[in-house]
Amino acid sequence: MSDCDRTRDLVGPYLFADIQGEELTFVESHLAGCPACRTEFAAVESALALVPQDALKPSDETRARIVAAVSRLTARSSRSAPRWLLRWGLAAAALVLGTLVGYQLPRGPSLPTDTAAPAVVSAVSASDARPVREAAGSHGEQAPEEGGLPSADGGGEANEMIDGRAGAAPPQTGPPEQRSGPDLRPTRSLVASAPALRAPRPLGIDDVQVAEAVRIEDMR
Amino acid sequence: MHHAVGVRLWGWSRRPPMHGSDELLEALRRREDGAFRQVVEAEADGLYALALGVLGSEQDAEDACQEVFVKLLRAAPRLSASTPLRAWLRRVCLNHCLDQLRRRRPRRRVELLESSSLRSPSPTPQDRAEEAELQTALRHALGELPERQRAVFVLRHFGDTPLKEIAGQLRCSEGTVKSHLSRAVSKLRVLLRELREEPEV
Repeated sequence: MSDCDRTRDLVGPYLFADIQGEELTFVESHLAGCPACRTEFAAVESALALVPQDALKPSDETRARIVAAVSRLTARSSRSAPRWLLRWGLAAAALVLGTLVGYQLPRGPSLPTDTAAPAVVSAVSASDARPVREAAGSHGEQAPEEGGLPSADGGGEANEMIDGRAGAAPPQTGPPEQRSGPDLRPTRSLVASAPALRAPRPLGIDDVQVAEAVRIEDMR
Repeated sequence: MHHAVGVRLWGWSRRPPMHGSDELLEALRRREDGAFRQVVEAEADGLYALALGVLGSEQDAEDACQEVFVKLLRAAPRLSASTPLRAWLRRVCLNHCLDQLRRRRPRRRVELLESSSLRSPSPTPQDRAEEAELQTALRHALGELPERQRAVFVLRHFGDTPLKEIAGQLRCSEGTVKSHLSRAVSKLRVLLRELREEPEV
């Protein structure tokens, strides 16, 4: 390989400043004494100057299409539900849970109060909860509160009504004042009017976990 | 958190020598849309230029970019924290492009002449027309180069890729890369001069 060939074989790296040391010294000393190679190098340099580094950049439209297409793909491939969905889902579950606990309380004598405590405290007002628990022992399982209306009755009055109603006809056929009965409904429930959700249901360990999860979520 | 990633990415995308961005990878692993989107925004131009330079077709370049980003998303959990993302992306992109070229044989020269001005609407006609003309001429010229020379030139010129990395990408020595680069620029000089003298070709 002649010196000219060797020099021209380095024109690219030379112009891109990719050679140092011995190679650089060689090229520079050759160029100093070889007009032909100097001309060639200058021609290549000016040709490269015509090619801006961003000459192949995408148009705004193309760029937007790429970003949009990739975003679509990620949205489709992401496996977990969005965080807001999880958060609100848990919140809704806790609300339902709180409601159920509110109903469960009077007729589930074996229900340990401390298990249900966090949800009950949030869902049922204190004045309602106390008389309800007292009534549970004599009342047992057989008095569903279908059709009851929310009432602002005091606790003492409510107790009397429960006692008077024990063993009587189902509340929906009774007179309105008996039907209303003690206010066993959680005062802040949003789902009280949905019959399916009012069926008594034991508090599962999952529910407790959901309640705990939503608590932790809310703390964040 | 998102802010931290963003700031980091910005700095990283502007500085040519890349460092492993473990935070970004961590965010990608968690499939955080924000993090992924920022990678796409920061790297789309470079990958597109690489793909367009090597493939010569805008549509193929666009497809290649999408492909590369999807691969990133899929591979993120397996990448190590010190993975230099930009280099990794270039490698995936180049492999994809070279595979495409291999699949595409015999080469369809027509595609390399495809005019961008016909496909993209131009809001500022004068500038866009000149830009498009240059792009077309350039792609035509690049299409004349053997694919390895083309890949080396595109990586070096448009991607600002270090020779050492190019050698790794193409699995050859740095000396070979230097040769390829020199042949590429010498040939481009001739091709671009011809194109300038005969703009209608």
